[in-house]
Amino acid sequence: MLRGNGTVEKKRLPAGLFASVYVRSLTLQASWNPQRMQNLGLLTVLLPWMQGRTAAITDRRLFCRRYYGFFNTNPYLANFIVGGLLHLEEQAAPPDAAAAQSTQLTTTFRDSLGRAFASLGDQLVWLGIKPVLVLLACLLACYGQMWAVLLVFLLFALAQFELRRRALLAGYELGLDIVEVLSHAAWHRVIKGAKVAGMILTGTMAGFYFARLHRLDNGLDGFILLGCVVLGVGLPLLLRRRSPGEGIVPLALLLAFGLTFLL
Amino acid sequence: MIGAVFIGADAGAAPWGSLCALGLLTALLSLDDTALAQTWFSQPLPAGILAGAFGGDPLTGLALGLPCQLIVIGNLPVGRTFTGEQVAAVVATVGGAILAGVRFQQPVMAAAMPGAGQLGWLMVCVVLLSSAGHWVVQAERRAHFVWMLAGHRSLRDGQLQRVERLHGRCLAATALRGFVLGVLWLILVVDLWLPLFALLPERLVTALSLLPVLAPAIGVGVLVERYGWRACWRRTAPAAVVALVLGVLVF
Repeated sequence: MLRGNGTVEKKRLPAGLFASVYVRSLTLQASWNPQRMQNLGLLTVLLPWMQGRTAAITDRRLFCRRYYGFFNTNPYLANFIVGGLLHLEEQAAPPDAAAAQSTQLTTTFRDSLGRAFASLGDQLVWLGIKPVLVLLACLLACYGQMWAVLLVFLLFALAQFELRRRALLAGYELGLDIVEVLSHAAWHRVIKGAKVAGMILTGTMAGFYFARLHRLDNGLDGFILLGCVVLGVGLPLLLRRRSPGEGIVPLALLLAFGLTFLL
Repeated sequence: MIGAVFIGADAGAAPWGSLCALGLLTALLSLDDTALAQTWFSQPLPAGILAGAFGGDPLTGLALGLPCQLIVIGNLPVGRTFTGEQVAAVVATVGGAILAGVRFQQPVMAAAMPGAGQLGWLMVCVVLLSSAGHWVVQAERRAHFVWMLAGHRSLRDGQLQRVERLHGRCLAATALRGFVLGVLWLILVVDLWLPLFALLPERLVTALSLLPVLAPAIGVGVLVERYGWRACWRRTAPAAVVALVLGVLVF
């Protein structure tokens, strides 16, 4: 919004509305369903905005209709979109009717940014940050540091709460300009850095774990230990189907059974 | 009936308090898994430690949670690719083991150590329960879909409260699923799975004792496959060698 003196005033969410939307945004995936995924969650997150105004039944029906279609994105980055949608709804509301945005614009914004943030979130969170944090926790766990393990996860929890808070504020402030956030080079630097850290931690964790086993396990033949390492590492590489852990363990047990004949 | 299930437990009588506490913990962590906040305390390692702390022996929770975490390190807990239901499986297996008097004294169990076979047996239990829980989660998600369709009425009459109620119902269903699965799996672990261990042939027990050794290797293999071994080996291999040398000589 442009002030009289020419400076741009930042759009701010009212505190009550912010708190309500923020708390609900933590449950975005609660009603995840295979057909429309997070649609019910998104509508529930946005409802406090609609409930804060005396809208006619037709407006409420149209509001529900706008957000009942397919929606899916990364839950940690979803608040960028939620904030942006609140911004667009605010602009389309009666007092600012001159700047009204069409339902089509809202839908396009939701769908295109949903896909973009989903892709970014997969790279950043699931393939970047998660392996790093989990490996770090496993490394600490190898040496029995239980409190340190819990601290790692607590720090992540606090960091993601803060990310969600900032994302909601930024989304509401920027509206359509949130696209610029997406194209920021910092995301890709963080993803690359996290992957490099993940690769190094993978090796570190493996080295320390087997060093610890070597110390503990004087009764096990070194050849068998080496066999376990080769088979364990080789199995997922041979499968090449990104099998879940639950699928690999039965095969590992079969291989372990075979190894017992060498003991 | 349930009281009879816990004849093998330390207390001699049914530990209702522990049963309810572990059920509530499972409900809370099941919510955390995808429905609420996603803080990752529902990952097998912290979930194992927390379940162990609830049962009075966090080290046993750590000893089981660590190999389970490494095995599922490549699982993506998102959308359609969601696989398994590790929360109830880990909490119930750790809780059941502690209630039945099983204790592990080391965070890392080597194959030759006493109890390694039992740890492997419990790991298999987690995997089986997680696979079984997967179908329950899928059923719950189909119920979400049905409830979501019921919300179509709000598109006609503009009743926003209905949408909120349906969303809340989905949250409650997840918590209830966590509680029920947690208690059910706990009973299965104590009553069925742990007593079966005594009947296993010696060779199978030896094979099971190798599972905790295979787990980190599987975790490494999964991550190398995820990152792509061509991109990964230049960083992973030197780090592994340095850590191995440091681990053997220093720590």
